Amino acid sequence: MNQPLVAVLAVLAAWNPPAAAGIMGMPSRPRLVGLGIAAGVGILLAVLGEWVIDLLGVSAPTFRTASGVVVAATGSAHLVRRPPRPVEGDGITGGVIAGLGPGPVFAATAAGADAGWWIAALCVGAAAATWWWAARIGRSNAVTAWLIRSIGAVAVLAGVVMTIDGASTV
Amino acid sequence: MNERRTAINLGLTWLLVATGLRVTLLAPEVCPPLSADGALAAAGAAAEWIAVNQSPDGTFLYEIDRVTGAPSGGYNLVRHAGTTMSLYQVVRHGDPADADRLLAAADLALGSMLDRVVPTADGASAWGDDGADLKLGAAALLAVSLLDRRAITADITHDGLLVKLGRFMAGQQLADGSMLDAWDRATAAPDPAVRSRYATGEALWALALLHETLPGEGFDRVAWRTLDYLSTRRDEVEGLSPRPWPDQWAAYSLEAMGDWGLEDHHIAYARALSGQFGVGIRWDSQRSGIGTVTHPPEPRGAGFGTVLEGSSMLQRLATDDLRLADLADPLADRVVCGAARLAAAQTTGDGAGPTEAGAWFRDGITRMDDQQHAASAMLWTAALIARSGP
Repeated sequence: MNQPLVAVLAVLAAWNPPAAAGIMGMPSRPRLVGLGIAAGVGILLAVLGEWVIDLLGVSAPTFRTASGVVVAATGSAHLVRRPPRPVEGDGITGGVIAGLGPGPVFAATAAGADAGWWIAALCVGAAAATWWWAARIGRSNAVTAWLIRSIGAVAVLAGVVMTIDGASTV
Repeated sequence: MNERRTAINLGLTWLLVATGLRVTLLAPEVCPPLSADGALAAAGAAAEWIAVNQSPDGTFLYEIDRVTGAPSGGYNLVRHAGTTMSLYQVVRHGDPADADRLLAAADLALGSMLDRVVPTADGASAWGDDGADLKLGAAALLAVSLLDRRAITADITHDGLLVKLGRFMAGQQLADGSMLDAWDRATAAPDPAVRSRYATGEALWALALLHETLPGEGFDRVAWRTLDYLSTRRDEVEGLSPRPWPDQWAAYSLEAMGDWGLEDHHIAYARALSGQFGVGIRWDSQRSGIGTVTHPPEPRGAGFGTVLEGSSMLQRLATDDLRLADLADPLADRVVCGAARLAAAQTTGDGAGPTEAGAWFRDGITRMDDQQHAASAMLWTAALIARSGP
């Protein structure tokens, strides 16, 4: 089981760029600012992953177990729910919201500890860039729904693997 | 949905997730401080409980309810051998102030075993009660007790018996490396129907230590077969779970055979065992505050002691074998944390009577192997802390 690879997959899948793009809608300037804030927080958590885990007073495997549960739950939601609709309005909240859910936050923090801070930060940046790109090209309902569910399935898988790994590591 | 409502939903989701995780999977891991001296003192106090509550015939107080003060009626010969072994371990590794008294107690308990040694086959011996089947685990832990005593006293008068015990254990082995637990006096042969999840590892460890002390008897070949069996097939054949079954005797054996040239499947087994023990210690360390409710059950000295014994042995193996080097520090952290928690749960203080002081109680009851396993674990933890430095 390649722990860093699973951690990286979990970040990308928990962010689920097409779902995030669906929540954000067309990328106005405030929404892009919101996206930037979400990405910044994600990168910060990736960089400070080990510190955050220490602050919580738990070991890395314990945090990995919990993160796996959260990532799998996030993926399950994407798998079974209808594709998200854009948040009404034009404020930054619509940009922030998709990147600051428990799934992306836990995945970024766990990846920071398991895959190394710069790899995790790079992944968060890549997920945010893909999110922005997906928002720019707009939506095609059938394809988007398929993509969101597929990425959700990857998140479920990555979350389960993380949980098992965390629960069988010293 | 508008932005405000979306933000409120996100906030509520976070509140639920964060609170839910903090009291369950992400409950803080609490590790009190523990020094090498503190661990040795805990081991010494446990040995004291064993010795103080020994009867003149060499048997120990088996089990007692602290509320009623009533001892239970049963006794277990394998646990008698294991408890005797732990007394020798404390004398050998614990540097107790009253070493002579503890050694005398151990020798008295040893005598009660030696009185019941019987020949089983050509050149082999075991021990047990008259009329009862002879147990593999009892023979194994008698052998380990004798080896510890030999190391303490340099007395080699029991070397002949050690070889006979080794032959008995070898005679219980099947071709696939598995071990039969009982020797049937009626048929004068191993009972093919009885196996034990404990005795196989106990015998393996004893055989490995026997080979280290008395090479040339071929006990290493017997040990390799059983180690292969434990590493690859035992859990499936014997239907044990969780897998790998957290067998501290196997961990002792892996450590004892660490410089024999372990193969990759043995190392994989050691790694998997480390995970089982590590998770057990992490789980227990989350038992504080509301974690006592969400992280049951309260461990007993025997059960948690075995987890620490196994972890300690695997930590030593990880220190010496590069293939497990990544586990050395995490295992050390878990062992010290778990031992500190166990030490904190020991009954101490002036108000504690002789059947309480030095013991670990759960639900008001302690059994002699609570002290046996906890004492051993404390010894290995003290050595680990001492090796690691302040």
